[in-house]
Amino acid sequence: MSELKSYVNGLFAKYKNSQTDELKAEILSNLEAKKADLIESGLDEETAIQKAKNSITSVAHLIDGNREVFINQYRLDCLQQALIYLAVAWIVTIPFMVVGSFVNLYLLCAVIVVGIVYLCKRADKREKRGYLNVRYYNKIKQIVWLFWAIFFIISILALTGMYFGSNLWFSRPIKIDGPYNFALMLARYFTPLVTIVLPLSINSLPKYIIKNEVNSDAEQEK
Amino acid sequence: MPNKKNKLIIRLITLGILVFGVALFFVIQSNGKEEQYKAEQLEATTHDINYVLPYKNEYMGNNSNTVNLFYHLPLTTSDMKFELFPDTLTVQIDYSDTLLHVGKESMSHKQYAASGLADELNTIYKNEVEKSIIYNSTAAFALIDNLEYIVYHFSDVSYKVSRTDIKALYSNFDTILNETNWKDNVQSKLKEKSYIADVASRVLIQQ
Amino acid sequence: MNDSISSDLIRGHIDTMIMRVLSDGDNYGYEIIKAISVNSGGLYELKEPSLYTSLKRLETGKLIESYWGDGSQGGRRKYYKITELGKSTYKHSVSEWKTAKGLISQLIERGNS
Repeated sequence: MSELKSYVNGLFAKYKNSQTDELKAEILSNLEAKKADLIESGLDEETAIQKAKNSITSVAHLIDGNREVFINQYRLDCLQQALIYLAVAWIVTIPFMVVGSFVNLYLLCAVIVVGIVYLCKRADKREKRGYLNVRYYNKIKQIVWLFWAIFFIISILALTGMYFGSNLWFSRPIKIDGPYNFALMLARYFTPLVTIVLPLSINSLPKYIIKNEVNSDAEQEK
Repeated sequence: MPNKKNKLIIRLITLGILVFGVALFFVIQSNGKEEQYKAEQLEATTHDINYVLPYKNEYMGNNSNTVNLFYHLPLTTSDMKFELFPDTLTVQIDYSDTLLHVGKESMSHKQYAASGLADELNTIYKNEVEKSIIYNSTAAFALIDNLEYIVYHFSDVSYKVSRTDIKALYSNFDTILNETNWKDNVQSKLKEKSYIADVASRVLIQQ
Repeated sequence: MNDSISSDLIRGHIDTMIMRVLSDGDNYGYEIIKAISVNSGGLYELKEPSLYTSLKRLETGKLIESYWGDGSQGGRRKYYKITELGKSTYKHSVSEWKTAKGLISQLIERGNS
């Protein structure tokens, strides 16, 4: 393999899943043309190859769906949103502590952990840039929602089966006599619902990529 | 930096802490109430008749029901072994300990410690057991329709109690399970030590 | 080649520059860069990253079309050709620039023309 060919392969190493073969071939052929041109104008092969390499050092901006993003700000936005969702979920599940459901304690731990990470990230004022692929995150978003929907439906079916189909399994049904048991049933149905925090947090990732994109941000500042 | 959202987070966390505090208060309070209720079920005059109403049954031969009934009555602090004799409609409860020890154990939870000289203590313990036997027998005969005899078997003494004798104590045994009747006619009288001793001498037949 | 002045001013017009080159005839990546360099009298070098970004944008907008041709020096090359839509867009961009150029000169230069 020619040196330029392996160089171009290296540039595209990270992007195997995109349809990049044509672009790869185009860039390679143009680099070869540049190298030939430089050699013709008197440069030695090594220098010509080096100059050709220097003419393009990253193809990130050419990948479909890639956006240049202020990474730190993007991460901060994501953490902040997740923190809000977690805090709401925590508050909503606190009342169920009265019937013995301690989901809110797990959520409280999550709030604390995410909160600490968020505060640490806030302290980092550096402006770091990077490329993120909107299409990739949109796909992730869809997959997560799908899995969550399946999980949620199965949970609800299992609970409903336990409460209302228990005649089939046990000799006596679970009775909902009185406010305590009713509240307990509510708490049990609510618990799988609370996990919506995860797909919700992921849902906003593509939005924050675009929000923190480099060129549009520059316009906002002015 | 979107400060609106940061303010929201702070507000949410503050709200959360408030709600958490309130909920925690409720949890502790209800736990306290639960503890208190459980303790009350260990003594005849504070026992809640509703606690054992679910065990109302026609037949003493319903093993699990009969056994579970006694687990929800006083004297449950000691180990119990049950023997059911359907042909004589008798339930026998074997406590693996002496009568005095069983009495002492049933008073051992916090609300109910006794103190005094050895002789005084023994009288107190005996009185306590007799009280519980009268109470438990009344409850059992009222709840389990065909039960005729209960034998309370301690390691040092055995007492047999009959339905007839218990019924004779009350004028309105058929409606005794009514909460007011129960409190007035069964429980309040058991607060008098002299009443207990008197009834015990008539109703607890030594075997 | 002084890039620092040129880059900001020229960036918005790279698409039009490429369309001009393609108006003269079908061409491929490296040669387009060379043609622009020649047209600028050596004063402006279009960088490869910008070239590919523009080509992608123009092709998505159907202002240019691509096809693979046999390279005379061996190795296939991706050639670009300006479309009819591209031609009219190009004409429009040029007249737009002329108007803007006249207005801006009028606004920033002191004294009459």
